Amino acid sequence: MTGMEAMSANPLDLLPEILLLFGAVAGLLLGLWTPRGRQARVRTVIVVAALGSALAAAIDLAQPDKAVFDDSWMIDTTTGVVRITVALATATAVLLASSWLSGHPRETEAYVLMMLAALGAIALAASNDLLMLAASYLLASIPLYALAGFAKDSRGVEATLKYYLMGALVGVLMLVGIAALMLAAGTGNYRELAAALPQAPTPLVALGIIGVLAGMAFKAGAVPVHFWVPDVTAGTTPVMAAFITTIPKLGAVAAAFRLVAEPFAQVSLDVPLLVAVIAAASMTLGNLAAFQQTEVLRLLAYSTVSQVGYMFMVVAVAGHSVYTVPALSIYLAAYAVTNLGAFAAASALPKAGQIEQWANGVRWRPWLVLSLTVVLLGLVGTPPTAVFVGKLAIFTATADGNLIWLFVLAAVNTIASLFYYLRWIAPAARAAFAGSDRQAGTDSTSVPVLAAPAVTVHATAIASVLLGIGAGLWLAVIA
Amino acid sequence: MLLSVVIFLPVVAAGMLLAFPALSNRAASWLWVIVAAIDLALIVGMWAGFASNSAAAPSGIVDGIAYEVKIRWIPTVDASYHVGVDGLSLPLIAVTAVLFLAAAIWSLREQKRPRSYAALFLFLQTASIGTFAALDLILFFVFFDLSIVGMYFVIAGWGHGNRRRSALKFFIYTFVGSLALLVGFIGLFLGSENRTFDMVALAANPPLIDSPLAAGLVLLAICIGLAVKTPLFPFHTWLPDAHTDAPAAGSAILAGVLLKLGTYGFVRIAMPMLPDAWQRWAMIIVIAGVVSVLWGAFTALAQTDVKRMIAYTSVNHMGYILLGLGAAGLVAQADEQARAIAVTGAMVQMVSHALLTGSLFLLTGVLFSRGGTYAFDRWGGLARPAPIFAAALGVAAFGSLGLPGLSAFIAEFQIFTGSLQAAPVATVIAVTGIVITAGLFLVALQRLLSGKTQVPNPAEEPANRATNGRHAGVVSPAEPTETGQQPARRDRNVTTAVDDDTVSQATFKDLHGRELVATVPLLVLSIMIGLFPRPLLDVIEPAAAALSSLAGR
Amino acid sequence: MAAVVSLLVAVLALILGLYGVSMAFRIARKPVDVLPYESGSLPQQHAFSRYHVRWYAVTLLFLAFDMEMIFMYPWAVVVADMGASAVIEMFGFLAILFVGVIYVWREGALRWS
Repeated sequence: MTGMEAMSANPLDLLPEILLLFGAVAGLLLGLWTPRGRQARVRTVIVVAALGSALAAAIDLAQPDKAVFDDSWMIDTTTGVVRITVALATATAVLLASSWLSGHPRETEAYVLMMLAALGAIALAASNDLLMLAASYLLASIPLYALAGFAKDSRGVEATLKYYLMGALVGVLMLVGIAALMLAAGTGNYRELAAALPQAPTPLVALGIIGVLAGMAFKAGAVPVHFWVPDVTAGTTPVMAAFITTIPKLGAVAAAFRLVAEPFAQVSLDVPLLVAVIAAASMTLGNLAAFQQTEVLRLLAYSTVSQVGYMFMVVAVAGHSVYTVPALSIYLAAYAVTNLGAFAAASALPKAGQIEQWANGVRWRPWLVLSLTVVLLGLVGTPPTAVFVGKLAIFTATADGNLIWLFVLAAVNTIASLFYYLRWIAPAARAAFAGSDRQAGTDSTSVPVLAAPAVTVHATAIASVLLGIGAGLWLAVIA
Repeated sequence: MLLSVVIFLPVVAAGMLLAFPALSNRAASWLWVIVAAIDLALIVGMWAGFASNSAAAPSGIVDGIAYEVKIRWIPTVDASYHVGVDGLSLPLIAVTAVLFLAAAIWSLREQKRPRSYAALFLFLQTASIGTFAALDLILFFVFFDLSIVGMYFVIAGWGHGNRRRSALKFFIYTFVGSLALLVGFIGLFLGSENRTFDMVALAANPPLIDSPLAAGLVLLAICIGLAVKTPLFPFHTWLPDAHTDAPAAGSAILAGVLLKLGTYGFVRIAMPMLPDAWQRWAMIIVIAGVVSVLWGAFTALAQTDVKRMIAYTSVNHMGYILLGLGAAGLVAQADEQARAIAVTGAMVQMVSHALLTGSLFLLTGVLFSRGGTYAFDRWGGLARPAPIFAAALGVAAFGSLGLPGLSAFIAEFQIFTGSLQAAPVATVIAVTGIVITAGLFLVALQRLLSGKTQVPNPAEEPANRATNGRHAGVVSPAEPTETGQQPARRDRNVTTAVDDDTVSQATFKDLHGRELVATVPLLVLSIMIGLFPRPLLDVIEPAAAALSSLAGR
Repeated sequence: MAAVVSLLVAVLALILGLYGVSMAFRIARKPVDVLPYESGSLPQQHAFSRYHVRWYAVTLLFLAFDMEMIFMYPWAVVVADMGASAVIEMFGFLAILFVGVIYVWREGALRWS
């Protein structure tokens, strides 16, 4: 560390993280002395803390990039984007989860765990040191294991067990990888790794890179360590699935981006190709598997796998194109908004597992179907939604980074993804249209639609369009 | 600013329709008509301003853009909200507004969820006008894709027959096309010197000049994207299904406006931005055009369904446009003037086809609302009970086959004149397409209008049974005497052959009210263009000349 | 050589002597072959018996404090050099840990009746 400028250790640099932590701790304490029926106040504390964290992160964006706390924590555009997106997405997810958790005996604990997992996701994105990365991985994982099985039903417990075992296995792989890299370079700091790794023995570096990337791929739910995604998504409750498939991904993709852009940039191995293959496999296998699904949640689960594929495209060209950082920034935000919306739609009718049941449930809700259409077509990348701008930016960055084959494959995959999203939209639209045809009929079989998720679907649909139209503004804010 | 108002007025009205559910269905339909009329009036005002302007400034595609607005949208990739009109887009914007007004008037009596129907069409109008006005590739793509989404719901929600399948087929085909287009746009962006999506900048400084392979591939992607939308053989297979199962107003918009998005893309994007590649591959474009001409004409000849037949003639007519545009790229074979004439013809053909095919589809809508079927063999002798309908159909059909005095003649004549020098063989082959089209329209008129009066019973039609007689229900409140009484008056005889004049007149009601107001102005406009083409050509010609010189760089 | 032999004999005599004493004073002929593992006291139940779930909570609590100690040892070495910031960090850490204890206490995991 000699010869570097004086390292900042100002706690105010970590204000967004401190606010999240404070929200979690304060929420926990408040919840302990709050009767079960009145836990809404805990929710308020948590949401306010998350929003405050997002605000603090937004203010912090104006400052120049800096590495703080002995160069272990990087605060730059990517971190800023993940901070804002994760905090806002967590606030949304908490409000969304209230539809299921309200009155639950462990309501406070769920919110606290969500906050801690969010903190872990941000730490992943901000890590500038391998040991920090390992700690962040654990912080981002362990609360999620608990959340996955929060309903304590058999499917949830099975999901948790799968998630936990897979997480432990990949965690060990990652630790082996970190050990290998530190053995090869003698340091865990990204900046020093970037300088030391090109001279290090190649097998050791290869082992290390594969191990560390496996950890990030697991957190992001990318092929080949995606097996937990469908089981956890379908096994847990829809609101928890919304959280688990959104927040950790943001941090993991940003962490992978930082790794490929900095410490792995100069190594003699073709890391971009490895990441590109992961991306290609994720989007293709995710899409192919989604075709078969008849369950809303499983369909969405595979959709998230394919989405990770698109996000890893930008990781593959990290450092090889000037468009990568804006592309990542817009896509992470767009994905968070849109994916939360899609899962909120599933949460609105938690009893309706199959697509047909869901469609029957929204018979009287043309507005809900409209918002669902906006959200799902948004996931495909239909303009003017946010994911469209994100995909445009990612495609551009990939083509600019000379991975033309990946670019073309992604375009083909986008078309393929249209089919399974339409498999959900079409019956829903049919039911909504058919429902409004019979004005006076009473349908006793209709399932009640939960209010909070329905509002979330509308809000995310609007946000998705606004973010798409206001993409320039968002990029101007973060730049 | 005025242009932005023109673009977004319809979608704002659509939002109001959805936001105020207290509005009655009738009021919603009327609001749609009023908004479409206001939009048209604004465009007429723009045209007047443009015409007076264009005397001074050249109305080309690089300079001379009027009503220009540019607001930065995504600065990192230099995409912006950039709109404006020139001689290429203004006629198409105007004809779009005309057709949407016609569709609005036509749908005044829509019984099935008229509010959502109106909102959807208003949304489509914004998407269509926006595509024509866009001067940024990404903005173009946004509006282009939104038009697909809007049309999907029109067909799926208000169509008939096998509407969901057709709607899905339409959506998937055109979505695949739009993604190919996006790939091409990104190629243009990466190939451009300043890395921009701005059409004006790209046309002024064409990208990929020094890498013919990349330019060829980008042109291929863009051409596939546009060919699906246009549609050209062999990407046209979605078209007949989508048309047959769409509601009449939807078909009119689909054929009249949405197909033009494809051909407009050729003149706006492919030709000025990839002049080198366009010239290199112009012969292929010409051949694609000629194949579409012949394929469309011959397939149309074989149809037993009026609407399918008209759909296939669209393929044929779009083929002429491609012939003209391709010929404009054959720099070595033709002089500047001939190429400009070919482009002018292609542009006029776009306007003319919109008016004529729009009216043809609305007129087939009359058949469906009266008898619930489009099949030729169920109809006959309609000239006697419905002279106005017969006259309108006759004018539209003759216009479509290229009779002098109507707009299509002006268009096709210029296309052939301009292309003959560049591609004589192809042009001669394409002219035979005219003969086939003439034949098939005459046969169609003869089948429908002459002979014994034959009117099918809507309740008995298979297409209606498939949708639980919903469409019979749509019409019945308007004409309760016919559809309500028919089953009682006649036994289970599916088709009713009548010789007696009085009875047949009661059976097939002539064009009236909204139908008349919706279709006749389209035909009048076509005749006006046919007789007095100058005002239109004054706008198109300078732009076409500028375009052909850009494509000839 | 003689010294080595005599040492060996002495060791052997000691070992045999101890065995002899053990045999002379033993209570049962056959000793228990499963040895007690709870710090020498004889097990009251077989090894697969169930514990009260509370035991796990207490274990976790113990582990938390155990890890805290690990953190505090190095801290104690450098705290004098690092100054106030190190003190604040440690007390922040302890405060969060303490919230955990309060949580355990409020949840009734420490109620031993």
